[in-house]
Amino acid sequence: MVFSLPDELERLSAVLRREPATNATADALDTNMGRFRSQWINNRQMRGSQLPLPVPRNQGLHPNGCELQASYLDFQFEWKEEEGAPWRAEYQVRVEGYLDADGALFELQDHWRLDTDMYAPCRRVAADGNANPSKEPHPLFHFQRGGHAQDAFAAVDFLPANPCTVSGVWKGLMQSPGPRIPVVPLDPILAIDFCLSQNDGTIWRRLRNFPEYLDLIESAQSRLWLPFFAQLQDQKFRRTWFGPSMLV
Amino acid sequence: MIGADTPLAGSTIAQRLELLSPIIADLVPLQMPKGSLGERPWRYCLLTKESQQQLIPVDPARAVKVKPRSSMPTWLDPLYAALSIALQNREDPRLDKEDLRRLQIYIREG
Repeated sequence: MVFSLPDELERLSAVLRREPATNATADALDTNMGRFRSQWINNRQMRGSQLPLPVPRNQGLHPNGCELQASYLDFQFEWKEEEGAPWRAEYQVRVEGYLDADGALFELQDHWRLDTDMYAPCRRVAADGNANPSKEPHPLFHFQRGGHAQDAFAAVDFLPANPCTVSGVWKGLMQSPGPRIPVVPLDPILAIDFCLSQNDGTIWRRLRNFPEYLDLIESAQSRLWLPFFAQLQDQKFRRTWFGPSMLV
Repeated sequence: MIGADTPLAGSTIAQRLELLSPIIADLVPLQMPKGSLGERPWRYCLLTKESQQQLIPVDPARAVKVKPRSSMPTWLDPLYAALSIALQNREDPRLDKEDLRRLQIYIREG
């Protein structure tokens, strides 16, 4: 029997509503619940955008002195009952903030994502991961910084850039596409839990004091991760998950 | 050890006993009454409380949600009915029909 992800999201929303910091997340889930339900019934898919999250705690932020305003999660999840892992499980997190530097106001964004390569036909054909067309190995489910949303953000009025209207010698943070770090697959329930835990551990721990929250997360982990861990006994699956770097 | 990473809310009766026994003497493990399923009794059965003024523990994961007639403040815990009590009161419109359906597979256990 296929699990009912919309029902579980509805239960998650009820718990999130009990914590003031996640009220907006619950609102967004409830607002989109009808759409989630029809997507799930029709195609075993779910697509969400701009799901508000509590902002990360103000610690170790760059640039110094910046203020955080908002954080959002976009996701695409696709389940095929015959597969042992999600067909598609993609999550994109965006954090927004600003830096008021007296004469200049900087609009700031941070982007990170959890990607899956399984939906790509080339990847499906290459069950052992050897025929991955990317020069750098892309693990089946991987963490990576950036993404298309970041590319779009950095395309206009972005500093540092060339040409540049600011003169002088300055330092800036640079970002390259790697590394693509293998991660376990997540469904939207586990992704929300993961994002909450990474953005603000205090809020996340308050949620974990609700038995309803813990039960939902435990059920989702049992459903998705126990079969996944079992499949890791198979070397072919290990290589599909980790990519061609996996030799054992 | 009890702590932020191991909330009591996630522990079973046996785990709670193990965690709390070193700091509370003579703890007796809770026995789940017949018809109330699960191992994490953190809520009570509203229907039993209403009808018999008795508190029956329920595990929210194995209990039927009770929808309040009016909206509740968020700081109040959600309401539940033990599965067997809910089955005896199927016609109660407050009972969550989805939960009754979802919990069908556990009926034999109860």
